[in-house]
Amino acid sequence: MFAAAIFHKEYDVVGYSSAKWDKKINYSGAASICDVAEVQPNFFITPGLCEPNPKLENPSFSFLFIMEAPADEQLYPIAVLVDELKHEDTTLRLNAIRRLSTIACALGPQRTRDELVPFLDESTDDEDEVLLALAEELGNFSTCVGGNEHAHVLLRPLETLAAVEETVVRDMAVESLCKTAELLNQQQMEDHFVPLVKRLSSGDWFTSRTSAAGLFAAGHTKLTPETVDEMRKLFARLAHDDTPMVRRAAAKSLPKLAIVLSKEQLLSDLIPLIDSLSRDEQDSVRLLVVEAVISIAEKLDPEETKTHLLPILKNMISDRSWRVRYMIAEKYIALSKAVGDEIVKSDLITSFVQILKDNEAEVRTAACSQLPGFASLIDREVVLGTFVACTKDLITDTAQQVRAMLATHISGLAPILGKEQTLENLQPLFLQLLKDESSDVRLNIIRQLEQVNNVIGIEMLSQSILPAVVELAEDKQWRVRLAIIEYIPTLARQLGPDMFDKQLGTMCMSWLADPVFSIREAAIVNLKQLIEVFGSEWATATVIPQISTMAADSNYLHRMTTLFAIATIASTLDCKLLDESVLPIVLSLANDPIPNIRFNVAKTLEALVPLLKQSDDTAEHVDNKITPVLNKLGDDTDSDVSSIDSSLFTIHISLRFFPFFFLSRFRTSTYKYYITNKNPSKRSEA
Amino acid sequence: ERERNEWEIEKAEYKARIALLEGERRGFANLKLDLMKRVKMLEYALRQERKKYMNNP
Repeated sequence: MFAAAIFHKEYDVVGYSSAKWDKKINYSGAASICDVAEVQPNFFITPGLCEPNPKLENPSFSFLFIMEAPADEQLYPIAVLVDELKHEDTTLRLNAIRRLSTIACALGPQRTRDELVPFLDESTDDEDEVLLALAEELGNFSTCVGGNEHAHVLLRPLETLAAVEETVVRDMAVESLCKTAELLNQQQMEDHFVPLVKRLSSGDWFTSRTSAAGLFAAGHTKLTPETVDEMRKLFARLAHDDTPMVRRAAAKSLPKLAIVLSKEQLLSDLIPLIDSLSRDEQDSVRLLVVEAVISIAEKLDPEETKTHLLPILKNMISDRSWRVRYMIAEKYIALSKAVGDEIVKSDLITSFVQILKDNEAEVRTAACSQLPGFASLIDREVVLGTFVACTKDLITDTAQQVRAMLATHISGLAPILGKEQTLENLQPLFLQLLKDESSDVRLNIIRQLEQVNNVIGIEMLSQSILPAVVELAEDKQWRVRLAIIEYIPTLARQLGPDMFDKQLGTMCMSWLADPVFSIREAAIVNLKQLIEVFGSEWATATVIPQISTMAADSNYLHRMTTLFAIATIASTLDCKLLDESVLPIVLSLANDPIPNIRFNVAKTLEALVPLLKQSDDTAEHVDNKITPVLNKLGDDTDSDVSSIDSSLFTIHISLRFFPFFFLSRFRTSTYKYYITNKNPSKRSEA
Repeated sequence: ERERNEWEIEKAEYKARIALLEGERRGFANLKLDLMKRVKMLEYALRQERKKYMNNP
């Protein structure tokens, strides 16, 4: 970039930019020719191009020369932005746009309006990411252009952005336009915003027309009645557009429009539009009308709703496309609240039964999720009479997701029906769902037990539900048993310790002796979680005695399970309990005739040692009780047993502050092996 | 042979890492340049404002 500049003896620099920058730039800096020559060595003095400048009083000392653009020109804010927007790196361009307000701040409001905004309007030829950022920034730009009275200058670049191909950019531009419209006064709306909406809605491409559909609701209250009428006609034209994309956008903006329009306008204009859109050939358009119906019904009287909206609604409930019916099912509670009690009673109850029996599983699933919410809106007798029969059918539904959704929400019916009816009607359904083959269904029903618990009380619940749980716990299929074990902690939390011991305690222990290893393993993890729920005292009273009897079992596999269980639950018990009750059990097994048990004793001790070391009292016992045993195991005749010991010693040593004090107390083969192989340098010390 | 392969794989990984870090560094350098330019621009704008204010207080 080159610029021409005249230097004056008073050191004023008056610059004329080259062809690229045809605006006159004034530099009045403290720069003498010599100074400039020093800092800018590459300038050329061309006296022939000298122009007389009326501003300079004494032109005798003037030169005209060309040089690299002086530092000041590069600081010209727009130039900075241009530079940044020329980067190859998208992230840098993005950063430039994100900090657009700095540029505007440097330019001041006047020049932002005159130069920056037109420039931005022209530079909308970038990647979508950058354009999205630009659209977002422009939405918050009103202070930078000099406040609300100038905010309308932002409409032009936003209009360009609202017509681009990428949907995300367009949506952001529409959002920013709506934001800007809120700031405009009536005159600006009439002069700038309304023409913009008109231009967009008559655009050739559907992109601009879809954007236009989102703009009708913005700033609606500020317009004169004539303009409002005109705008409504325009919107009606969009709602009857040839392309489904535009009709969809119009249907989407209906709820917003319904909020700003008056009741008469709703009845005269919107209802016919909704009617025609609800009978659109595209189901993607029809399903968007559901929301509009809800927001309009909220503004109308029950009587008006009945005459105007009910036919449309009925039509949609029995729509041939399941997506539309799904939409209805999903919004059923909101819909029922909007239309009011009377219509719910007269029409919506039967329609709900109809969608509960829909032949698409998705629709039934959505309906199931609305079940308790809708039931709370209507009479108890009706719920009993109609819905309970429906749910009975749904429990044996072929689609798993329907049953799973029903299992989540069916307990919500319990508070509505009350204690007796729940026991009489719902309980059989619970039991049946609890025996469902799908684990999702069972899990969902167990998760929701608390709600039922609050209604019928824990006594009744345990009497009715627990037998089913127990039955499943003894199922022949080990996968079913496994599934139940996984839910036991959840169930235990709801039942509380007393009820749990009475009903399920023995069952949890019997799993420890299960013939399938996975079940035993899961039962051990389950014990750990139960101790986390009920606390250490519960463990002392119930778990520890059970474990100690198992340690004396004749089957070596059961003795091994004992060790596994101890290793797993040890971290949840406190040190004292470990030392007094758990450690003796482990040590007593060290003399077991089976090498496998001895091997696992060593492994279990490995898990216990760091825990015992946490407290000072018990740390002593490590030396007194554990080390002699380990010592003996180190000399074991079985090679596996003595080999695990060597690795245990290393862990031992690393945990101690003075390893050689500790080590010097044993002279086992393992220890020697360790010293010679792993730490030869310290041998002399030992 | 195997050791050599492992060494080569390791070397390739390090090279990729260096390339990534170099790219990142370039990005940061550019960003810093831009930010410096912006600071200078703001300083300039402030000088201009101040001069305007000095001329007609």
